[in-house]
Amino acid sequence: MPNQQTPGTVDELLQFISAHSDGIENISNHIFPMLKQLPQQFFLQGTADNQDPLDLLDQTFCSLAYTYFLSARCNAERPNAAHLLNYALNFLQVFDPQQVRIAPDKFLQVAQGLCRIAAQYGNSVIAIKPLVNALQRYAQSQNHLTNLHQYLIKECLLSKCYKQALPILLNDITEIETSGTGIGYIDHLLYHYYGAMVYIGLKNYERAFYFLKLVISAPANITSQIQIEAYKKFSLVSLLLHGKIAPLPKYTATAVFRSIKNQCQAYQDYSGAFESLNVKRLRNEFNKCADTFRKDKNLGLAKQTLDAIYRRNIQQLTQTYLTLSLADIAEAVGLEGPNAAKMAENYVLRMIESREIFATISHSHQNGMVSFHDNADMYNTSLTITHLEQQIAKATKVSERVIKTDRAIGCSKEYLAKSLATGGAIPGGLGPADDSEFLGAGGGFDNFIDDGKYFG
Amino acid sequence: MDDNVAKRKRITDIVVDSPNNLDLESYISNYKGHTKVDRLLFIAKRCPTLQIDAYRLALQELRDNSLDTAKYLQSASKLNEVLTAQGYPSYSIDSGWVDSTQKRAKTLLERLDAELKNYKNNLIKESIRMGHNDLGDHYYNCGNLTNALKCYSRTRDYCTTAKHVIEMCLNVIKVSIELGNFSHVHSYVIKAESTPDIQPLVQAKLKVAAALAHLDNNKYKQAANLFLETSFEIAQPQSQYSEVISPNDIAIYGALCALASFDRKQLKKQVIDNAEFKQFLELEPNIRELIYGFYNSKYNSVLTGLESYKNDFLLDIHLHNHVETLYDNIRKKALVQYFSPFLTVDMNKMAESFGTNVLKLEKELAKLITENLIQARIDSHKKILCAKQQDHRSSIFQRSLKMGDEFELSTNAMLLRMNLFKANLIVQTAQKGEGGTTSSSNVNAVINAVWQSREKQP
Repeated sequence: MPNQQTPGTVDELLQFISAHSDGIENISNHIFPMLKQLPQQFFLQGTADNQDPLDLLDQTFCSLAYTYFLSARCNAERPNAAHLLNYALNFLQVFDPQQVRIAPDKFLQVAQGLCRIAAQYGNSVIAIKPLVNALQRYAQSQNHLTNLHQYLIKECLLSKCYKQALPILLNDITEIETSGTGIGYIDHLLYHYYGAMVYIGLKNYERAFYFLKLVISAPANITSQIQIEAYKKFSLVSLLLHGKIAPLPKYTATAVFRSIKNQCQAYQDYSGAFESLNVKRLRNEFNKCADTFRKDKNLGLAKQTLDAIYRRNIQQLTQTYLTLSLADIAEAVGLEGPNAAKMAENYVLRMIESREIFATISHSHQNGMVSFHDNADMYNTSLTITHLEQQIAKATKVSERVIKTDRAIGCSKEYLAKSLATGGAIPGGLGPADDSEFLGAGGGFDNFIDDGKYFG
Repeated sequence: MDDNVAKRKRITDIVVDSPNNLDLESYISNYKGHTKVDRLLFIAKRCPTLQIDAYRLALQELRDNSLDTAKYLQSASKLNEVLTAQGYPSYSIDSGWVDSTQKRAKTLLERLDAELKNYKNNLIKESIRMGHNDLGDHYYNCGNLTNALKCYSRTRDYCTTAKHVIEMCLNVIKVSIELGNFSHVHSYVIKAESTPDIQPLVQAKLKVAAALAHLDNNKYKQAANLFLETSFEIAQPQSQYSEVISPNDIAIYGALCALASFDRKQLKKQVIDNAEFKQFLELEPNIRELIYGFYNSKYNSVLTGLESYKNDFLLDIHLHNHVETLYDNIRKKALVQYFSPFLTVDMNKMAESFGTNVLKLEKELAKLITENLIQARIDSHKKILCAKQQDHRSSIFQRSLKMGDEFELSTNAMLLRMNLFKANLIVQTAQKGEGGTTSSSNVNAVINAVWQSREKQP
């Protein structure tokens, strides 16, 4: 700011801060520009009487300034680890989210610094939980993406605290706000990519599948390497879940489609082998592709598909047979060797336990007979009702959000300008909800869903 | 077209040892012209036992009724190969006929060419058409099919009446069938059918041609429909369609396609109660028996009957590469139809009715169930096939719960996508906006670090 003197010492700065720390506008109009023009070195200094500004500033009321001091100190050459760790952990509990959102990059530096210090301290895990809690306050809502998201999930991955990441990952990101979070497209891609890896680690393939799909279908003019890597994982996860590579959303960028075709041939060949449900062919193809898998660090995931093909084959048998001997099962799914029947029994047992199939094994006959049943859940208990009600509540919530967005778009300048230009009638929208079947969504609702997929 | 040729080539390798019911003389007497020769050569190529007779008949036909010296010489040399291999005296080529025919063909060609030029100078439409037509006929007689096709197609611009159009179309169709270019056949059938006042005989010819095109394209149901609609007038001697197909063929093709693609009701209505088609079936009583047998669920006799005719069909120029598929479909149909009225079926009895054993039957049934043609499940222990009991209520619950989940996810994905667009967070070369904590160059490094750490875990 031209009308304000740049403070020469920390004392002057502190004084200036205390004079202007009333109300968020004052802070962003006066303190932020001041802090921004000060060099990094400045924040490493103490006061004249050798006091630490971190002791003097209030963590809540002066969160913005505190972020600057803390980030500078965390990123200094030789930080006082134990000392800073305390300050940082305290700060993360009490900071004022509104203030730190003014300088999102600095806040990220604090988080990064904290993780580094924790690692130096020899225990990188201690930073995770406080950061998870902090992130929940830092984000505008739990559906907003911030610049901290991808970094935090990466830290969770590196320190293998998969479960710690769940409170964050459980909420689907739907809101993007560049001001106050300082995010770019890479944040979105990486967050969902790392998130998928966490879910793969936890063997929650459904969620991993969804996350990877978001990465691949992100709006794009060119293809990001992250999207390619996501597709590789996507194809394997897809095999585990559906037995074939699931189709990508139609709106996936053409550039991405093209790159996938050129660069992921091995994965597509492999999935072709899997779809044939022929164990021998799959093993051959696996040996052919093993190098690619290893190079892409997908070997572990790929190995799981070798196991999954037996499960898928057994699943298929339940559609065809009512009873079948274990020996026949082993033969039909492609298990070989002297222990084939035993292995088949093992698979069947595990699948019964995980409720993938419904069956009973009887050993009263000579070689073990498996009877397949239908799903025992007749959907006639109160549990069903509760489940349904939960689902309906969720759907209503989503619909409400859609209506809100619909209205927001309806009110936007661009939309109104366009509808006026095209002459009059506003398609889809502003009027009262006229489609009662869709939980009160506006008329423009059907524009948001790919109806071919859900109602076809 | 290339595709067709390739398909044909691959199939011609099959060798049929002995036809069971085929009497070459009486079979071939149903045909005239090119198809007679083509069929004989086709049989000669695939059936060693009939080879010599077939070649001799073909040579006779070529010498008596055509100017195609090239084919004559080619067939003769093939025949001689076979004869010498089996130690018989070789066939003497009638070189006098070859020479005189070649000369005759040449002078005729020159004369026709000159006439056509003359007509063109005089600009009389009808004469030009006739000229092209005659030239086409001549090429056709000499066995030069591509040139014949060209000449016939050229008459198109000079057609003045519907009759001319139909004549042109029939010529093109005839040549195209011989060439195996069935997409051409199809378009000219449509062209011919769009002319007004088609005579029933022409109509019948067009139906058969279209049916052949569908058969070639593996569309058995359409082929069956068209064969079944064909009027019996085509079988009259004056119809002259024996240069393409015999009425017996129509009965066989139509019946097999119908068996392979119709359900029981359609079979009754369109085949058994079809007075017109009945006349065709009279020509092939065995085939008629098959149809009745199938309708009356005597599957074992039908299947053995079919099996006994298989070799004959494999020697048919149009049918040969469809025999396997048609037989397969008929068998599947029979299995499905056998099971349809029951809740449970003893597989031992079923195997008996289909002349097979329980193990093979079980495999076949498993395949049908996987293809979703039979809604049933196999009790492999008691060897019983049980119809599947659909629990609609449960499946609706399942589906709606799944749909709810998908709805939520896809809507969220859409909202995210919209907001990404709104914030202009689109993957592109230079990152815009104030964000961007990770620049694209070090993304790979980050990813690699993560992978390395993941690789270490158990």
